[in-house]
Amino acid sequence: MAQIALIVAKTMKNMKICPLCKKENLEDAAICINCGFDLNPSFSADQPDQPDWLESFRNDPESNVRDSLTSDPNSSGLDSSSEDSPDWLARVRERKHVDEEFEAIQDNHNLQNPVLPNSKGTNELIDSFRNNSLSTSAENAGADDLIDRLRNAEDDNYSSEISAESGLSNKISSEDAADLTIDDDWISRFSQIENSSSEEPQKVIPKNRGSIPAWIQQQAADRTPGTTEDSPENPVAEWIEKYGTRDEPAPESGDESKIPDWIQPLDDEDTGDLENGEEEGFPAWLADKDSLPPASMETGGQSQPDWIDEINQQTVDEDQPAPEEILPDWITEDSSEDSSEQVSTVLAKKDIEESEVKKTQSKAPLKTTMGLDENVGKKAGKIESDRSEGIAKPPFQLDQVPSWLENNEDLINTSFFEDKETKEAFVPDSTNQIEPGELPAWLKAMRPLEAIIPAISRLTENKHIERSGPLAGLKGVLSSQDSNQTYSPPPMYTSTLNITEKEMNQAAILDQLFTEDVDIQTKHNPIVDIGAFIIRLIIPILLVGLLVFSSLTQTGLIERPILFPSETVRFASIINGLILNSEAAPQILVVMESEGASQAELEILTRSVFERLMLKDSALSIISSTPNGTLLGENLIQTAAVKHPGYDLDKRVTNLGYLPGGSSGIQGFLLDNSETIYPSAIDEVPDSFSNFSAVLMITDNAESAKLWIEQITLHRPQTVMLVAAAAQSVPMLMPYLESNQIDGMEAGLYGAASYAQLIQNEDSSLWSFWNMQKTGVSVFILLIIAGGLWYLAQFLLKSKLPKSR
Amino acid sequence: MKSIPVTILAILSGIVVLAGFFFPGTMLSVFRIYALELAIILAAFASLIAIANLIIVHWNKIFSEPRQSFYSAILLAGFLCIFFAGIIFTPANTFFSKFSATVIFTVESSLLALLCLSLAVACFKLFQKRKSGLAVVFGISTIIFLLTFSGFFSTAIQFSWLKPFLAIINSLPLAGARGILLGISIGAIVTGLRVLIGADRPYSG
Amino acid sequence: MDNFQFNLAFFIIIFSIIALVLFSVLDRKKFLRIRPLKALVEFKKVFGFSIEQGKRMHISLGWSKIEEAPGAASLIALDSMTTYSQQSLLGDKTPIITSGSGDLTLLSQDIIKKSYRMNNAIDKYSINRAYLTGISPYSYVAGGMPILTKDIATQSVIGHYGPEAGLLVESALRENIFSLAATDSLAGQATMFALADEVLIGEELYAIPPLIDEKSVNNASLHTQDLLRYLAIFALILSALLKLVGIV
Repeated sequence: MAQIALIVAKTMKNMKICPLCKKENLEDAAICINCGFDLNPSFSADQPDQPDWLESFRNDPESNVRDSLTSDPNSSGLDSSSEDSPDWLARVRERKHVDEEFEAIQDNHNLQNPVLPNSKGTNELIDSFRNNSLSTSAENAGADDLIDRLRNAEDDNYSSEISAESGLSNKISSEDAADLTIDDDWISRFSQIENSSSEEPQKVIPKNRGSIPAWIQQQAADRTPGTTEDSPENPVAEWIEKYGTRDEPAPESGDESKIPDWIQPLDDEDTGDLENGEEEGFPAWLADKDSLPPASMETGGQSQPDWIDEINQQTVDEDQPAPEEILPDWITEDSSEDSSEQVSTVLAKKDIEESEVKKTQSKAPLKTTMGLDENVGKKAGKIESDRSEGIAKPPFQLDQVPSWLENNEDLINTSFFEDKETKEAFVPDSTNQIEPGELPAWLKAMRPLEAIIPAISRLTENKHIERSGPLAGLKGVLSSQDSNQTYSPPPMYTSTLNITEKEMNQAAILDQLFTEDVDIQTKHNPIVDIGAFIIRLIIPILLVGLLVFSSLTQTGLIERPILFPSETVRFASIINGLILNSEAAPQILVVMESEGASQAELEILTRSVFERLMLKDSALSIISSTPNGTLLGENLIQTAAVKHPGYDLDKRVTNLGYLPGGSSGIQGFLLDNSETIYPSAIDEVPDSFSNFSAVLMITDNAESAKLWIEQITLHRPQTVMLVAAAAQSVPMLMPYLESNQIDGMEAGLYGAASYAQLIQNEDSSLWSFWNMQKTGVSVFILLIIAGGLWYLAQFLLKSKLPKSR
Repeated sequence: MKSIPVTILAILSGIVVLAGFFFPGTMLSVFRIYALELAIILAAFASLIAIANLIIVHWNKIFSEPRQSFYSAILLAGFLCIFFAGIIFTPANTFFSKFSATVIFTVESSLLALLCLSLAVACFKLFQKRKSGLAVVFGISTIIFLLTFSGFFSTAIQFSWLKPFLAIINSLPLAGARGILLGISIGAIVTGLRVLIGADRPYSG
Repeated sequence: MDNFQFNLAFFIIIFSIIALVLFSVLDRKKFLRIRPLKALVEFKKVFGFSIEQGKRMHISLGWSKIEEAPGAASLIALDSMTTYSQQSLLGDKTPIITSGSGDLTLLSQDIIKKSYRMNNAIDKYSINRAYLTGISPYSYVAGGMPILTKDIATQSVIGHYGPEAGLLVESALRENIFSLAATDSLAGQATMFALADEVLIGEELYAIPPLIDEKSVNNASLHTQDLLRYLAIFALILSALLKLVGIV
């Protein structure tokens, strides 16, 4: 409020009438306080030093045209200088000069409280970090030495750069101030907006809206108090501005002792003039440029450390050559490209060349291009004249870096600028010596700047320097071009293996290692296999040889059994009873539970039995729970019938077929009397299971035999159960035999031989097999014993060897 | 969700069949008979499907692994030969039955003979493979079984005194065999009951 | 079937169901311990090695029909097949599953397909690796022997077999294939004992599921068997004593 009152008091003497809204404005107001109209289309000669740092912002077609129209007709074109100097350099010069001019303007108008601290654009952030420390004071002379030195170094470097361009300054007339004052007008306009926003925001009326670029108008409109923080155009500035706006009251209530030292080098006047009134209305990054006091940069070098002085000296020495020699061509080339791509970017002097003007004509009415060139030339000349005085103010300075980032060497070293182009940013301001603020913990945790500037962009060399636009001179600025520039098609991978000769040799060695391993294994295995092979070969040969030899033995020499098993005796007795005791031919159910592998053994077992049954012309019904059983049963009966040609196989033998279903099927067979099981058309088949005289089970499978035995015992316990079993199933059937579930059993060759002895059968083949079986059993017993002894000896030998060793 | 009806069907079928076994002469027993017949028919169709699968597998093997498909080719040739012979001559034909029986029984008898030779080798290497007391027991039991069930001591009257002694020794492995049979039966009961209560579902439903 | 047998069978079934359910409910925390079987432990090791070597496993399910009395062994075989096939998915090659009956073939294909689908490996399922090799014991074994090539490292012969399974195991021995054998047939057990690398004797066959797949119902099943076995032992001893004293 005090600032505004002061402004009003000072400007009441000469008031300007806004041509647009007819409101009174201060004489030196740049824009209408009501409508924001540009009140200074042209500037008087007594205001030649107004800052033109926003020249770049106005370097769009509109601003160029406007500049050309409003500039002093005596001003020389800038194109003359832009021909020789790059745009960025001219822009820097402009900014530096404009800052000085703006400083003077601010001093004259006293728009801000002199004690207000500098906010310096993005220093709003710093200010916010410092809380109340923004209330600048001269007491902050003991600023951060490091930062000051850096600033001085940058200043020196920058000075050395621009000194090379001193030749160009001759071409620039003092009439450039006309254009430059436009920039100053800009600043003052924003200053007024800011200052008035607190009390009279609605009174800001531009003088000439038509001469203001559209984006500036939009920005000015957005910068009204109500919309200050809502600017969507620059989110970066938005969040910075939050801190800046929060620190607005700092100047009055600021505690000087809390002001960081590195801010102190800034002149109080400069900072105060720039910050207080303008910061709120500007984007933070934009206001930052305003806050850079050009004059303070060199004076701030008093607290620089020695090493920075050395660096400065080196850079000065290196940068002494003319800027034409220093600046590469690609910078000037790229500047034209950038200007065409970014409408709102700051145009450098070179961008105002004809080609650029033509490109931008489509975006704003172009009244004349000649005046533009002249104005630009004026500005360049003015800047050069200022720089020749050794005062250079970069658009961005190191003091823009928040204090909490100062401890980060990476950030400090890389900063936003680097090398020649960016050294101006480090030009220290002796008046900007502000004490380092004590950053709150919560703020340290936030570190918004890190979020904006990724660490990778600061720590790596991938720092693209913006050459145009409002971010000109900044390094590591995110650009939409980056993605295009850095984009590369996905890598193509080939399936071919590209290896060197050395790698090939190593692979060969590795392959050889594995190959040798495999070879060793394959060589080793046959040694083991040979032993096993010998055993596998010798034992079967021995067994077969002995069996063949025993088969050649004469029948008379074979010892026949004289001790008969009881089950065989019962078996023989039952068979004899069926033949002898019954008047009618017995009806025998032959259950074949064999797959046929034991056909030879079963044939020996059953031949004499079937022969005996055939003597009585018994009716034989074959059934089986295995698919091959009935087939095997028919074969056995047919074999036995050879000696009984009178036995009518077709009539007396009935094949009931395969009985599926396991125990359930057997149970159903035992209980069911339907014709499906017992066909009535066949006389030899009884109409029920109970009508069978006996059941003769021929099996080599104990499990299948068990099913029949169990089911018959359960459902037909009175059935006569006879079993002719192969030797392999005998042990499993013995419990059923002992429990009398089996009435009689012919168990293996021993049973067959016993039965043959009982019935006085002289079948030579039977005794031959009997002799072979005895031989085989002997061989097997010997093999078990020999094997046991062999490995026992091996075990003992192995156990003794370690002891002897 | 898919498994619920299938599981319910399996459990209900098992319960009905079991109840039909315990309650003969009732509707449950009638239903049990039909259920068993249906199961048998399904099993027969399953066998047909499995045989078709077998043919397909070996057919594919002939073309996918030509060098290792010698047995597959023989299998297919034998199958086609018996299949078409059965169709032409019918299974009741004497020639067909003798032809197929000769092939089957000869091959299976040969396999049993091979098993005999393999077991002879295994008997020699028994104690190499099994270095435990169980192997000794097994070896002794085998020898006893061979001696007693083969009638090795039945040819001479002078061995008659061995008969009660061998009977006593022989009762030991028989008792063991009974115990094993009992344990297997109990295991079979519990395994079947697991299916009955739905705890074990050997199907994807 | 007299009343005594009827009542005994009914009692055994009801008792078994109750015990099975109770053990299943009570054993959710696996407090019922099961003694590990050396054969299964060794087979697990070798099986792991075979997976690391990228070799297959041959799972033989036996030839017993599921609806027949030895079908219990086939159920155990299917259960173990499920577990081993899932574990085989860790390797590069899925196991080859052979069976000797039609219903076992279809069930094995059904289960293996479900197992692969649950493990997101249905693409590994092939009809060429779960099939019938023969419908009779010897034809089944004869059909399974050519499978045993150097591509296979382990073989589980679990199910109902007779002595013919010795051919299968002996063929595996020739190819240095590790065989685990378990069957409910005494003749088969005797043959396997002499030929197989690891063999399970007697009712150890029914201990396979709880040992390779620790489900509460598997543990309950095994403990129910033990309970029934204790009852059988008690009944045998009691009947012997009663017969000895002349009461029975």
